[in-house]
Amino acid sequence: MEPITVGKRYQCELCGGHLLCTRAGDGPLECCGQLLKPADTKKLPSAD
Amino acid sequence: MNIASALSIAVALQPEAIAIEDGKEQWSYAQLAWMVDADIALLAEHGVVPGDVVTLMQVPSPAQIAWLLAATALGAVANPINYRLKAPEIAGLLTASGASVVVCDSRYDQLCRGLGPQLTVLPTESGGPAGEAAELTYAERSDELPAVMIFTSGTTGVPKPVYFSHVALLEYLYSSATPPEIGSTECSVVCVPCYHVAGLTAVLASLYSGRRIRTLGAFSCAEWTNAVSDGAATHCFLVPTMLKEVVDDPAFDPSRLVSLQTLAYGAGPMPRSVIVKAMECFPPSTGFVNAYGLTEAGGVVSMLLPDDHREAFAGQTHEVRARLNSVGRAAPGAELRIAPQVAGERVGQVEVRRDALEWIESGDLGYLDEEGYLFLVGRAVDRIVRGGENIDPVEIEEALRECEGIVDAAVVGRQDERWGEVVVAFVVTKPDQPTIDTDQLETQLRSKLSSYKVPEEFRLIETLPRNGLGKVLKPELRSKLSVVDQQP
Repeated sequence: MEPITVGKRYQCELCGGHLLCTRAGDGPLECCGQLLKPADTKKLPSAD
Repeated sequence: MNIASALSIAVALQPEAIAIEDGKEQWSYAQLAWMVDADIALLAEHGVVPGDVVTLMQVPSPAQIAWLLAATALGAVANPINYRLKAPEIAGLLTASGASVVVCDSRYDQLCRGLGPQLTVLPTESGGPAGEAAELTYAERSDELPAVMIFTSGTTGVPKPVYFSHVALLEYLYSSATPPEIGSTECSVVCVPCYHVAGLTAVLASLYSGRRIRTLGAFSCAEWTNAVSDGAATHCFLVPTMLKEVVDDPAFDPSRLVSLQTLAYGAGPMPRSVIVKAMECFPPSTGFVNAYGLTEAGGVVSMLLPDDHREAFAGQTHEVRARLNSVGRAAPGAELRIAPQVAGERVGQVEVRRDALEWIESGDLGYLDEEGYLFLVGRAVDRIVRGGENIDPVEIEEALRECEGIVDAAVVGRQDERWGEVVVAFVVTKPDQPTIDTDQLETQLRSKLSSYKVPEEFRLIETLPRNGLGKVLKPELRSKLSVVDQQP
């Protein structure tokens, strides 16, 4: 299983909740009774 | 989730990396976190509780960024304001925001203390650095609650407060930045103050992606070039007046900018001559991005990307070349539409929405070309209606700037019995040409503009009144007209 690392984002497909990992750990991450999947990253070109 | 988590992630990933530098000192991410911790403690000591508004009246500095993060981490609303404002204006903003605490630089201390006994005034310098940080713990706030509040620039009236929730700011970060890779060497020169949405998002995006932030005091071509060159900066956002100052400076040395990958600009119309000059002289490795954003929409809604710039610059057709004057196409997740006042009209109010939420009126007038590039023609309130014809100032201002001897121009409407309104141009001439030849100006303009758009009157002005971000203060220009007109 992929380790849960700082800065990774996850989203629950059932409730839509977002999770941003601020502290590393072993996982697994669950929400609404199922495993969380990494969230899609849609990266904009930098405007900053 | 608290927006200050953007910092804790970078701290966890690269505590020793430089977070901020000001040209003299440097602070690592761990040190920045200590500063934030010390500021949190001070704010709490002075009775700040979640939901309170903490006003920040500070020039851009590492300490300011720490205070901003501390206020949001505590669950309070950080409210950076324009430090150039005068006492009555500040008093008005504080009444509107209900702030109970002001953190200010020492030069504003007396001014802030004079605003009333109920206000707690903390000096910027009273904050961090402190000793070793405890585990960073941030107030649990509901995502929808505000983290930051900034006032609109007030170019068209009284500044309006705009709130950014924790979730809105985090969503912006997720869509535009990623946490740092090991050994990242990106650096962002932040020239725009945090009381502007572009400055705020630049700081937050830089922290979240682990970039080094280089703050800049007063802007000048030399200071900016030094900052980019000495810091090997990769990213920067400038407002058009800043880029103009850079390319117009005889001492400007573009060969010192080789590290710069992205130069973003926005927050006002970019004169074509300025962006063309920049593209001609900047290193070819620099990609230009024009970002059109609305404070109310939480940031960027359309972008003209580096490839768009290159294509328009080298374009074979008028249509493609014209896109250098556009603000690009809708950013991912954003939609644009035009709401014309009269059905069938091409120009209308620009409306934007993000993530299929409700449409927001931008207050800007514009149109879309066939490929979806957005062209802005002016602020809706600045539109001049002359004898039933709608006239948008930006086109005339652009044409004026291309006239011989003219360096800057702004156009407003003046009440007129016959036409309803007529066009008046305020022009700034080159220092060696202290007068204007009205006939010659008119001839030049008539070759570019329909005759009804040619100003009835030209007024020489030493400099245009602008706010801190370089936006022209048109109400001030209009008031010059009425004052003069009332004279016998």
